[in-house]
Amino acid sequence: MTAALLADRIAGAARVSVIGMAKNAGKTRTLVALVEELDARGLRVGLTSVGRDGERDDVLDPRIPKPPVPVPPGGLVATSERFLRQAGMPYEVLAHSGYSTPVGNTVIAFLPYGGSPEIAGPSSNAATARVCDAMLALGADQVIIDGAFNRRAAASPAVADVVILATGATLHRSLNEVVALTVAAAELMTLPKASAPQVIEAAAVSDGSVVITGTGEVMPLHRRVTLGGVPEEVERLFGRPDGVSHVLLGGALCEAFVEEARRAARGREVRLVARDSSRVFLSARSSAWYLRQNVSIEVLRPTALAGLTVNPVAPLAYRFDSTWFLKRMAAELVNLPVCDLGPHTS
Amino acid sequence: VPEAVDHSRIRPYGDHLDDGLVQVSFSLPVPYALSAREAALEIGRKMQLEEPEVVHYQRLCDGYTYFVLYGRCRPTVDVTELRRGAFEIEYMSEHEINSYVAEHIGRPIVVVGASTGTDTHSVGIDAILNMKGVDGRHGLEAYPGFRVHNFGSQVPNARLVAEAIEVDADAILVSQTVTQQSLHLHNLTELVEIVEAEGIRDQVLLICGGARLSNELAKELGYDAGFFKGTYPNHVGTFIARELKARRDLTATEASAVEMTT
Repeated sequence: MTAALLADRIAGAARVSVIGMAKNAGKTRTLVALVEELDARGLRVGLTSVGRDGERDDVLDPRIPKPPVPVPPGGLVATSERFLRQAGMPYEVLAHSGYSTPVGNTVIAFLPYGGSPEIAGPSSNAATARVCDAMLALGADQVIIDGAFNRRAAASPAVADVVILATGATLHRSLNEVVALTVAAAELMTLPKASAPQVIEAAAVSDGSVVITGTGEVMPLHRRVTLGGVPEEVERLFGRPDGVSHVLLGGALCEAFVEEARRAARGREVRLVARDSSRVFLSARSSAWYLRQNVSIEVLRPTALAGLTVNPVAPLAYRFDSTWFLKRMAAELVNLPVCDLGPHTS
Repeated sequence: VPEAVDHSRIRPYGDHLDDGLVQVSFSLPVPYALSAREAALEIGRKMQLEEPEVVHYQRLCDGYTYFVLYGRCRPTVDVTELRRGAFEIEYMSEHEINSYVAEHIGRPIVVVGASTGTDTHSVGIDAILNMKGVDGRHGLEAYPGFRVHNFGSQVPNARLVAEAIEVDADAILVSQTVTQQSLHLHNLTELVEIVEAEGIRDQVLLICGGARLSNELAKELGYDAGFFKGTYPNHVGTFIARELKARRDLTATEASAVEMTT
């Protein structure tokens, strides 16, 4: 698959997030290929980053070369004005967002002749969503949100209409391990949509976490229990005589809570519902593993995962065979388009 | 004096403004001898120092010599350019911060802090937060303008977030001894993600600190500021107080997408 097919998959989506599995997983390469393709189709792109992109030197290891991100003529960017000046191309500031970041205040600029400025928009989801809306209102056809490190927050449906996941050799020395980690991440992103009517009903009236008991009673659940890891309280919760039908999480669903719920339920079915997949935090076990233990995790708003890009090169270290890597990924993730948008620098 | 300074082209000075005088000190792996002095001067010239002069050199141990060099440095820096649209804070003193908080915030600022994840090093967070502070300067705990909750080391991210919400914190401070192993960094990003998942990202300032941190790294990690070696409690205090006020002003003017585009 090429950038053209990837662009087909995201056609019509106003906001596209490029999320990486780790640093140097190939987010920038994906972004560059995508921007090029959208420009060739005559679409005006808007770019923002929840981290930084298009920087000259890697923030951790200056020996790792980073590709610049060429913004096509007529494109829009959300970044710090300092980076616009440094890039030395003409630009017009269309709006001051008022959002401050550690590298300066974010402005929205129009690049009449294009250029490759470093891109660093606001970091938070709410601010990113507002900046994206502003760029769309200012004439962008599609806005691409660049992720950072392994951060997944920008994959939330509140920010992005579709998501592209970037994975790479840098994750682990063993290809098997990289495939397993990537499959787990893709599964997490595509957790099924909750359909039980009592859950939809409870979500409509409560922002916080609630427990829906076996008899349909809805009780609030304190954050201390969902975040704090208080095994006794989880034990008491799942030990109720009428049982627990669902737990609906208002915020983060952390692995400690999932694990405690699994233990407390002692093999009975546990149904956990998060607002969206970006709020589910699993690292030791995958969602598939929990499902086998009778713990199902669903979301209210599913994420539209449009594709996966692979980078077979771990900078300054080693590389996998691209074809073999692609083949392995495609075999595991049958319904997901997988592509390598190289060339990659090592 | 400040009137005479042209901030668009500043350079170091020693005796009088703009003379470019700098002092550098270093060690060389050569025996304490006249040739060692020559080597040091040559290093100075290669560093582009004009009129390098060895003002002091001494034997460190067998085969090693220590030097202090004076020289003139010609390049200049445009500070006005660095300030424009960049991340800038002019540090206030403890006393100034307290009056600033009283005047602009009107209540003590609530701060929670910890070394998170597996990190056991609490020396950084303690220096900034604990009453005793560091190097004769009080930590934020001693400031009347701050209410501090320091949870120590090895605090899970989720628990720190729960505590922050419990006390309605204005700022969360995390200290990490960052290494090239990205495990530490993943721990830092996880905190940001949990804060975002809990829906409080825009209500708290997220600040990270560590020997290897920078503002560029902090930006990539999703933090509002990153502090590094040489940071004192009043530096962090200044940032928190000023940024909170700036964000209040921003909310007051109701910056929205609609307003941005009109």
